[in-house]
Amino acid sequence: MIVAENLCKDYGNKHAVNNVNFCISKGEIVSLLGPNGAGKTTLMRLLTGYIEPTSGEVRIFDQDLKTQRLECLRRIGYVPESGFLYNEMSVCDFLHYTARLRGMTEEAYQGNLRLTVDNLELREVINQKIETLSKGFKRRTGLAAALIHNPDILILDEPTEGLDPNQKVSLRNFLRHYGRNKIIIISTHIMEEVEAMADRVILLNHGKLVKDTTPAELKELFPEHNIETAFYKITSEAK
Amino acid sequence: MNKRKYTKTMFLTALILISGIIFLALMSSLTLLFGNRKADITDTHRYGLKAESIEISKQIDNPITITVYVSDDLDSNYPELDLHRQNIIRLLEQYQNLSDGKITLDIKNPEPYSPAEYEAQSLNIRAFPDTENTKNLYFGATFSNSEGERYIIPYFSIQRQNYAEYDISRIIGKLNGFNKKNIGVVSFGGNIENLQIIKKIKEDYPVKYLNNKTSVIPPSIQTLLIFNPQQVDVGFIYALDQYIMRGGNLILFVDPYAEAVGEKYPYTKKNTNKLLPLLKSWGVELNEKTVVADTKLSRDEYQTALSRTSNPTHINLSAEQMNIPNIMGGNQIKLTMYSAGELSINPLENIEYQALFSTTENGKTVPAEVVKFSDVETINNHLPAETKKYPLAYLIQGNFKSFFEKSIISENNFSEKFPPYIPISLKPSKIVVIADSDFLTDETWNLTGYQKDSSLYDQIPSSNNADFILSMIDYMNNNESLSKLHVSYLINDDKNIVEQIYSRVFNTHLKEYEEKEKQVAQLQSDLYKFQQKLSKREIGMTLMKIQELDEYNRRQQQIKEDIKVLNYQIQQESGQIVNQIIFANMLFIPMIILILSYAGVKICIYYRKKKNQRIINE
Amino acid sequence: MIKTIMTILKKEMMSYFEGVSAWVILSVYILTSMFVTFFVGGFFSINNSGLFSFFYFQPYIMALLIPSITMRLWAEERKSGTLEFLLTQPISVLSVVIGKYLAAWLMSSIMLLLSIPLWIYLNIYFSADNLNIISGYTGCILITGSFCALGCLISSFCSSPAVSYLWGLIILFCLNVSDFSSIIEAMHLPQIIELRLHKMLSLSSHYYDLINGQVGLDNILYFILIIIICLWLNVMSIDYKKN
Repeated sequence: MIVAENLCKDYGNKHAVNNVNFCISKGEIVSLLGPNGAGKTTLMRLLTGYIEPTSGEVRIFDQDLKTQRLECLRRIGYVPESGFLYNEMSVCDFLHYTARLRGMTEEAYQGNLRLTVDNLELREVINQKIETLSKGFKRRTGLAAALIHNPDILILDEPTEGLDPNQKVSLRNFLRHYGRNKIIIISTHIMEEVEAMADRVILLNHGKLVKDTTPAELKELFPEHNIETAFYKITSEAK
Repeated sequence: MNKRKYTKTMFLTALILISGIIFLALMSSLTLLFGNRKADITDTHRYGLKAESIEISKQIDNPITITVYVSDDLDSNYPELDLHRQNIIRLLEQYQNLSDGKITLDIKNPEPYSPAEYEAQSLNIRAFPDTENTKNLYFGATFSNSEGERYIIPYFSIQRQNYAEYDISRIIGKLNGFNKKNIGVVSFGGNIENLQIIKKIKEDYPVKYLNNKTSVIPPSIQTLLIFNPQQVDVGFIYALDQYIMRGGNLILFVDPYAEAVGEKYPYTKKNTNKLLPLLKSWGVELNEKTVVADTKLSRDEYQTALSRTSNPTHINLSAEQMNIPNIMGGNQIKLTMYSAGELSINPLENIEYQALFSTTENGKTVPAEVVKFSDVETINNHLPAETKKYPLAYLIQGNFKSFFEKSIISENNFSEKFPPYIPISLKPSKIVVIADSDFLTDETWNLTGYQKDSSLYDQIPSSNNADFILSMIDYMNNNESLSKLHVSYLINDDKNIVEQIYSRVFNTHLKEYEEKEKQVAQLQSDLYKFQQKLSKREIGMTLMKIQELDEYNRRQQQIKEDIKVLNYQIQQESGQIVNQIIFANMLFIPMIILILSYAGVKICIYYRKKKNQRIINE
Repeated sequence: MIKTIMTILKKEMMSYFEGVSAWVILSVYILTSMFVTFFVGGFFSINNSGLFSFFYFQPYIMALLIPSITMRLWAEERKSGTLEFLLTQPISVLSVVIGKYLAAWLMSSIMLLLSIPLWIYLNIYFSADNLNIISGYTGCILITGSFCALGCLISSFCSSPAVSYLWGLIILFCLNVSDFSSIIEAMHLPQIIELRLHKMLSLSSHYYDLINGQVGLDNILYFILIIIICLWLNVMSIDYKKN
């Protein structure tokens, strides 16, 4: 369970995240929605402990992220938006490095490696250097690194960006399957993805939480339109 | 945005300031806690203070001020002096730290036309130009005590850096309760006043020259030095005997062949003198007919860069041959002797005899006549098979009986001419007998000698003969702490790498070299005999003889040419070794290591990939 | 924490040696170092039992090469965006800082290893003062340690390796050349205190003590202090920059 209480993050005078409250339970796939600059990435960084909040707190499975940072981070898998891969490493070395950083034993790593590589179809590029991979493989390698320790919480920033339609479908299927008894938070502005995967939508605008609802409810609010129009209407109302 | 930048700059400045303050605070407290205490881990203890210096520094009761005049830009002009300057300052700080506040160290920078420069000039601190010749630089020091005594080191010469501690400790010792008794010097030949050792003694003690015909040795003389006594008057013997009876101290240099004099007068009579019976009365005997040799100690002598001889009667003694740790302090010592005599003792009751140094067990004796008139080869041919350890100097201490009997005194009317006769020592005397009177000639120990305006601090000795004598004088004048210091600094005969390579290559050609040398010597000797015969008209000068003479000269030229070629070959081989060292260390070994490591890394990568594939496929 | 440090260290070492950088740095090091020892330091013309000709120029060579070892450590992570990945792992910033620093230090110590044949040569063919040489190597290792710590710190402030290299080069050269004399002289203190301060602060003075076989606790602590302060500043700068 992730709980955000009165979460604020200021950069100088700018409120990047402003008094955000939510609670996400196990089994939920939550989509963070919002226009560019709404504070999605900042919120994710706050949830992964990369940056510290100006005020408020994040609790992960009843543990305070600030005081018990390492325990909390062990349960999180995080895929930043882009370019977080060590290009000079091979896929397998990168996954091994991640596993070692996460303190996994060699046996646990080897077991998880096979599973992850099969699920994300990385077998053919396992000894290839990351810099030589296509965008899709790079994206999946990043995801594999986040999944290597089988985390309870998976936080993904724009996970399907750069994937071809087939890869998108298979990734969505995988995430739906994975999210059955885990928490997945996906930041996106692709409405189609929200409809396809999310159980819940958290709408952010100017750092504020403007709506915490389900995709179905979001649609019901504006029955005459699709979800994309609903997003447009809500964010422009907030403006 | 600007505000963010401002905050960032402020944050960084604050961080750097805080860390700077922490660094300064910690370093200051560390310096306060540990000071400049250093462990000298060099094998020759190049920079740490010796035990004797520590003792001298701790015993100061008369406060001493050391003023160092050192130009700030000394190191920028002469980078090689930078380390030397640091070492001298560190050395002086060590004295200061050890003295418990009794030594005050003042460092002044004599900038041009500043009061410090005028002060330095008035104190005769040596000025030398900077590299651009625009101003004077200084690196000297004055040492003074509260009683107004002052000693000056005009310039801390880099060539004398190994002696810096010795020089400083000695000055500190001299400023602190040093006994300044008169030293008497008696010579029987040679211009003794010009010897470097006498100048050295004069730096510390008043020196009085006594006539060798004198019949009274003044009571003010604490220690008497006698060089190479020959044709000694009975009157002088009596004076010497009575001097010892009054408790005077004596350092006596005797030997069967004084080369320094002998070289000038090759047919000088043997040094028969009436002193020997007096010596015998003290229990010491000198065999005038033999010279001591030791092939294990023989000193290599280079007539030219190429011709090297090894004369077994010219010996270098090192620490192993010394039996004087109580007087000499350290164990780094080298003494040089030329044709020392054979000493033996016939111990008397209540007199203490101590052999100061001896040859190795490989010591031999050669007739003095052979040494005087023959070349090294002949000397070597005369070396006997039997060997023995020969003592070369004795320290004799105790109360002696007069050599003269009352009856002789009255027969010669001595008591009328001289002070009252004393039959038994009034107080104990110390006598040192050294079996070589060349021990003190400059050639024996002094490498550089005095230049026109040089000082003691420009001298670089090649062996410790002078220090040994100074040490003995200090010991006899009850300045024991100083006497221990003398030889506790090292003799720096380290060779640089090129010299080491050269001597190694030279040694591989040594036999060839010696062979050529022998041939030259043989030819010269043959030629000499041939010329002798010609001059004595034993043979007539015929065309054949002229041709024979030419042949001698031609062969001699040929061998000399061979030696030149050999020398060139040695230089070439040394050069090759130098190039090999450069090539091996700069390219060959590192590249082999790098190539092997690279291959190793590649193999590791290959196996890692294989392992990954296996894990996936399992 | 040790496991994390070792993981980071291993990864950094791999990235040095699996690419070309390590091989280039090692080759340049040994060539310049030996060139300077033989042709500038007068290896053959002085008594070199303490390998003085070799040690004397090491700070300058290290100032040239260490920034190239440390420049990538943080600047590259920041440039390629891997810093976010690294700092969202369940590891402390301190362990990452130490891991990266140790990798740089190890790499520079490997450079020094290439000069060991010269030491062996000296022992076999000439006279060597081994304790003095060990103290020289200690000095070298400590000075490279300090330079690596400074290099890491500089890299953590920069967002491009090239900029980090340039700043590293400038700062390390200044540190080598400067003896803080202008600052100390401006304080108008008695010369004996000036000398002490100069000795206390000057990096070269502490280094020369060590290469001359004069080991003092103050020399060793001086370098350790620089390392600790730089690593602490490094942690602070990473924490500051990510927020």
